[in-house]
Amino acid sequence: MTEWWLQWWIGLFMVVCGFSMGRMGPAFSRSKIGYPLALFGLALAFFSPEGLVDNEIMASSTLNRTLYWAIPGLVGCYTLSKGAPIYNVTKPALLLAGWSIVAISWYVMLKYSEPFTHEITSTLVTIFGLLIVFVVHIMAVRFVESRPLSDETVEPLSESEKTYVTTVLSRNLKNMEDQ
Amino acid sequence: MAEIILTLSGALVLGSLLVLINIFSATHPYHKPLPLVISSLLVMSVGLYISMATGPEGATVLDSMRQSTSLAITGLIASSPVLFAILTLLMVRISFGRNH
Repeated sequence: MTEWWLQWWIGLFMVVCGFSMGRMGPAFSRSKIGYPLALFGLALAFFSPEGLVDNEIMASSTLNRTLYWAIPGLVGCYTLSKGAPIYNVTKPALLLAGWSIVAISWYVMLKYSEPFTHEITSTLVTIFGLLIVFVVHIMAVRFVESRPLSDETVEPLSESEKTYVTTVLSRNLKNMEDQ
Repeated sequence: MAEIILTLSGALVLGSLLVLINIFSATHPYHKPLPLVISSLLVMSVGLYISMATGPEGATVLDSMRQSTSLAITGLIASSPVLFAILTLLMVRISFGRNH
């Protein structure tokens, strides 16, 4: 029996792993490889290998069908967020491009993906299960936060961190002066 | 009914795995991960126990985990059109809403 089914799971783990790393602050060098790692993981999961069991095949095909419209959809939403009015300054070209991509994404979803045919019970049960985990996690976080702080001295900023903070502050101060 | 319980147990395992992967990949010197790891492992054990009890006889822990967690992944991905619909409504709001 081949163990290629692991590729699918490793791909999914790498997506979560990469997203978690990408969300870390710029002081952590891991954040730089986060999103590329997530993309690589997505590619591993997309090209699903042999040896998957029934439910995995169903999950894999649902994931692949979703990716066809979800990736352009997210790109469209990102473009829209860049073109949306901020302080009454709108970028119409970005808005037009964003809405075009979102419209294509909806078209692909409705035409090829059969989006609302999946049994809703399993989705609701999954969300309920994830909510249970979330509540337990919040309780654990509250427990950790309620513990007394340690007396360890926090290390000062490194040179690269100092440079980063200085750059951000000077950039913001320059923006304020311009306004 | 068995499939619903299997999906619920899969969601418990999936959620715990998400928390554990997040803890290990985003760990930093000011983190206190031990209670979070223990709570996640406990929830995962409950999920695994339920999936072992509900799944086919003779299945290994790994097989039960694969079957139940992939059911939960399918359920989660199936909710994405609804999420995208909500996201689209938010985009309508930020694109055409009045900015104060």
